[in-house]
Amino acid sequence: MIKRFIFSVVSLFIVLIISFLLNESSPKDYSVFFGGTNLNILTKEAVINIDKRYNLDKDIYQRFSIWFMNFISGNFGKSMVTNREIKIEFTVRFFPTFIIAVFSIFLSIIISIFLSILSVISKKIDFIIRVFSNILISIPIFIIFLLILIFVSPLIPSLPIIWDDNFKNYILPISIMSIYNATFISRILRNKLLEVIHKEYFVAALSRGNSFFQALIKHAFINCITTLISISGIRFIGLLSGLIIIESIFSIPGIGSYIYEAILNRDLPVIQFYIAFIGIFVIIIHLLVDVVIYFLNPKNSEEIFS
Amino acid sequence: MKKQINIYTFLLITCIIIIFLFTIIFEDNAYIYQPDNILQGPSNQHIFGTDNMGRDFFIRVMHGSKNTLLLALIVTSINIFIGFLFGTFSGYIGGLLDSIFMRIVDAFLSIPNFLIAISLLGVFGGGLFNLILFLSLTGWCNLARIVRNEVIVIKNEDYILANKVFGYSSFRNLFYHIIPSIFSVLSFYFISLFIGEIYSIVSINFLGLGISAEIPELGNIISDSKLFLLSKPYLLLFPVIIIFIFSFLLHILSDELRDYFDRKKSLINYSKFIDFSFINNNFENE
Repeated sequence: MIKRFIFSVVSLFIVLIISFLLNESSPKDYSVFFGGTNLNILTKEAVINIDKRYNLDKDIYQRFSIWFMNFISGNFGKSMVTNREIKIEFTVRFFPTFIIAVFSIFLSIIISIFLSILSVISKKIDFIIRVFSNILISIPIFIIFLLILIFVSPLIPSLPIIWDDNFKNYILPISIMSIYNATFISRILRNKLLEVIHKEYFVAALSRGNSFFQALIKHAFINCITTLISISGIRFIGLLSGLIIIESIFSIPGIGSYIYEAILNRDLPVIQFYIAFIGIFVIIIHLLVDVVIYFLNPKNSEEIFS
Repeated sequence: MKKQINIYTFLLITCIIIIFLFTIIFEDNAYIYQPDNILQGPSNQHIFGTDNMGRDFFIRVMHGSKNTLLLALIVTSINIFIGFLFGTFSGYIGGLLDSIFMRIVDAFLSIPNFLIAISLLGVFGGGLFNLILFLSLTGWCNLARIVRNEVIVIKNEDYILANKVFGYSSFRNLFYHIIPSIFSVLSFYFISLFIGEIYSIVSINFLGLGISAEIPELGNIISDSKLFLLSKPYLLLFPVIIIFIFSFLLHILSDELRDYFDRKKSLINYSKFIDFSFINNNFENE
């Protein structure tokens, strides 16, 4: 357990180094950013001032230590485009993405439990679910959103497509994301369930006089919960990177569209902060998943924490 | 089971051959601007109609799907090669090197590959070389981890120990015994990685961060036809259908392959103990 914590702290440190190096490897033409390439508006003093502001006159180790200490103390710097604190902009943008991601992952867990149990119980339903989920995951998620925009949303005029900070806005993205993710989760959960019902303890449970459904819930499903948790953790992370495109298409003011705007404007401090943030976030989620699994089933701990 | 795998592989290869034949027969019309027939509907002359530059949409989609598939194939091969190389050696050597390497891979894995690719493409600018480079920068990490775990499992098997007792060199153990037994796992992960790369290439080009918009590529085509979403929905549908056909076939194929390998494994594990045929009758794994 302690080993796992140490590992994740080491990974955290490496993530910070990576996000710093990604920024460092980019052409650091901050003066071009402010002055433009052809116009040469900036005087030499102004260029020196800009370099000083972003610590370009120091060497790489000093820059890293300054950035690192600032990052740890919660001072993430300013955006180059809007010249406002990244922390403030980010917290405003964080709310819609957080709501969509959390709600859709919870809904998809519930849907996938239903689907996987149904597909284990009956073979015909299993076939239908498999075909449907194969069709759904064969289309990238942003294209599904575009198709629904064309063919479904004219039928339901009460659902708004354009974002106006209403709770109705969340219905369409959350429902589509949850169904899309539920197919991923239920595929793996179904395979795990099918694997479990071939185990000896399940046969023993059946021979003790449990009905198939009872044995499925009591003995098979309980053993799949760890798989369910780890898969939903992975899907939660996949969902965050899927939201980058969807938010930028539908102009949802979340962190996905925030990073997309930053990338288009080459807003280096924002990109650097975002990569570090996502890295830390993902590491924390992995750690949480492992800790939960450890407390649910300590038997597997040796596998995880090796 | 094996029959189904053969059928799906055959269908996939025929689809690829058809697309390549069409691209050989019809020339690339990426730079032809015909103001006379802009945005015409499907007709005998233009099967899929024409796009906003008056180019034949069918030829553009065919060339686009060829380019997407080739790009995805290149990126996947690079990722598979690097992941396989690092995974095998890290798993086989083990010790301190392995644990340092795994921490680095952990850190790379915690930043989504797609995020790294789009942020670097945005900063450095797009282009064919940059697209391939940035997608294969961290795409191999997942595979390296999987291969490393497989190698560690196989390394501790009895027959490797027997080989060591016989005095075979570790080179021979690695190349004659361990690596061939990983290939079955690789074939399955190759497909899933290939689908993932198709998706990320299409998404990156859709966002306008990848290769230049003139080059026919499915993501570019979709982002062009997004402008005529409500008036000409077929411009979106045709490239989507191509993506759909390929990834659908690939998904089914990977499902079948996984079932095939699982069956092979489970036959070894379970058949010794009890006859499970009474469960298999009801709940057989397709």
